[in-house]
Amino acid sequence: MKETIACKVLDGERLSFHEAERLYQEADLLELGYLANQVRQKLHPEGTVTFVVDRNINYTNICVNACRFCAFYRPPGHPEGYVLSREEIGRKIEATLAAGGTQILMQGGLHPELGLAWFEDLFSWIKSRYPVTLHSLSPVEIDDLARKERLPVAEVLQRLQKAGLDSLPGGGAEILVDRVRNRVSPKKTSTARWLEVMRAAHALGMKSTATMVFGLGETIGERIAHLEAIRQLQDETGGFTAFIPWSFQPGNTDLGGEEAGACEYLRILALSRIYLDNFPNIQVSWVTQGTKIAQTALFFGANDFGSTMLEENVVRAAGASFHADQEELLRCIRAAGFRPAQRDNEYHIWRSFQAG
Amino acid sequence: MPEMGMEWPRLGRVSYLNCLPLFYALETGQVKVPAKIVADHPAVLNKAFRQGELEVTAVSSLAYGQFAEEALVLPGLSIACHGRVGSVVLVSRVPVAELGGRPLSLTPYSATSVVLLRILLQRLYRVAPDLFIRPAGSPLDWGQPEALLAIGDEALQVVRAGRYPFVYDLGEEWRQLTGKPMVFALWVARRDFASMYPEELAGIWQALQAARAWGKRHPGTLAAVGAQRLGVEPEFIEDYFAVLNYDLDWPHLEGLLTFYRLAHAEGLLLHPVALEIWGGEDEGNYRLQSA
Repeated sequence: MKETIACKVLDGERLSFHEAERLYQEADLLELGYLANQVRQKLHPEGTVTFVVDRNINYTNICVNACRFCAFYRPPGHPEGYVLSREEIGRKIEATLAAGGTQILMQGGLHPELGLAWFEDLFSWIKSRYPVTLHSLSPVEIDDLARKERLPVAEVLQRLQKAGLDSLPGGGAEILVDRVRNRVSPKKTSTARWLEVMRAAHALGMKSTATMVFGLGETIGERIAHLEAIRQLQDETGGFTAFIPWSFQPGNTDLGGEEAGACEYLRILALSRIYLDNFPNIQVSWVTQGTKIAQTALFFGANDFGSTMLEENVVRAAGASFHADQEELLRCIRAAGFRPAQRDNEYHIWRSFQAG
Repeated sequence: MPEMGMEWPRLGRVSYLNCLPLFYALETGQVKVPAKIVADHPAVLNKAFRQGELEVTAVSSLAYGQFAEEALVLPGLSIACHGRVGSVVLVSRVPVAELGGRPLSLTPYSATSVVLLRILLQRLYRVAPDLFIRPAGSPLDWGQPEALLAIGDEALQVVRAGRYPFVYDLGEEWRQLTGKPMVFALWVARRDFASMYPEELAGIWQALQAARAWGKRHPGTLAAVGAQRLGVEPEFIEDYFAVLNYDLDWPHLEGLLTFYRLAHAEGLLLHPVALEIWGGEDEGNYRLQSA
């Protein structure tokens, strides 16, 4: 059985839900890795591994959602709660530009007092001063704004786009199966609404990424259901630039439990490269997995090293503590035998580096 | 058959919130429907349909049971719930088992939910309260009832106000009794229209299906629009839509036939109902008998 499925993969045919489930159950780590690597080489034969220089700006940590796996948020009124001022945001952007950055990833908690106008003003202010791509606000934040303003999702996105928002990060997807979501983040955007926001963004010509956080007590079937949901939407819109899976970081969270190991991460990464035949890029998550596994992941289907993450507070709050600067990323990519290239948000090559 | 033109064929829509997931896409042009939409109260739509002034319309399940021989059911479409519905409730000052001989006021706005309650009183609760219908436009507690049946916004409000300690969700109670979904409304076409203009009907039917699919994929937009119209929180609308179901699958048909069978057995429908479902442009229709 697994041989038949493997042949389909090598022939470039799409796998069904059941074939993917079967393959995951029957194939070992290296078999999955081999297949994923074949798919990756077909899509990216040039031996380049890309990355983007950007900075995460977590504009607020105040959040009403209280997800059980989050160690970053503070409830409204908490003494440790903050909202960054425009000046602080401006300084962070200037530092990013000085470091050769092209992109800002703003994500924050669901602050009950920050309405659509606050973001419109902030985005236009940023765009009038700085030449950066705004890859900001996950579907969860867009959904929250639509609720607060009682406006259709498409209208919220249209107004933000007009103010300068370029694309959306795929955060808050976790596992796109409501059984799992209701257990770990009952107040968070449902599967249908997460997909609705992405569909609406793509319809406006905005690109986005898709993510998956696994290890939240879901079955392998539910992980594949997640992949199936985003594959279907990608067939419809073509608006996803990349897929980024990572394992749940249990430190400092209510949910606790064991973190998935490197082997499971690589298997899921490989399966996603095989299953998501309409996604151009798969990113490694070195922030959660460390740079050594990230290097290995380049042979299990990944072709992009994600971003330099000049600042990342959310997974850091959960105890993941991998740091790397641009030099370190270049060294990792070269040492793995690839040619590093800095890209922008839409995967245009900005600057190519020498191979190692 | 009336003269054709821009105003024809005509599609009747109940102007209630529960139709929004189906009609929002049509009314905003996201899905084009080859018909003129006429929005009105159920009683007005029923009358217009029977007089040949509407070709396709939504009707309550009970209304269809009363004139089934004049209409064909459109396949795959309904307004239903399986279990809790939220907007059709019996609220009471005492447990329902103690309501025998005590005043229970019925909503003047929905014959289907009145029949549903009467089936439940006979078959599930086995009590015989003193039933009376409160006048349209009167306050909910008109006549100082011990218990009352409320639907729609009134149901949502009376539950939220919490003045009646015993609350029975009739969608959930129906599931207790029968194990099946409760179908509150159907979409029907006139027989003469279906036989003379099958392609026109197919166009409308396909648009309704597409609109329903659009609604399923845009829960946030529907919640926002519903919240704006009613002046309530989007979460509230989201919950309301989440328990409603717009399909008409086999379990729904079984639920519907059970409803007709019990209504007839209790003398609330004069005849057994034969459900006839439109089979599409090329096929024959399907006939299902309730008893």
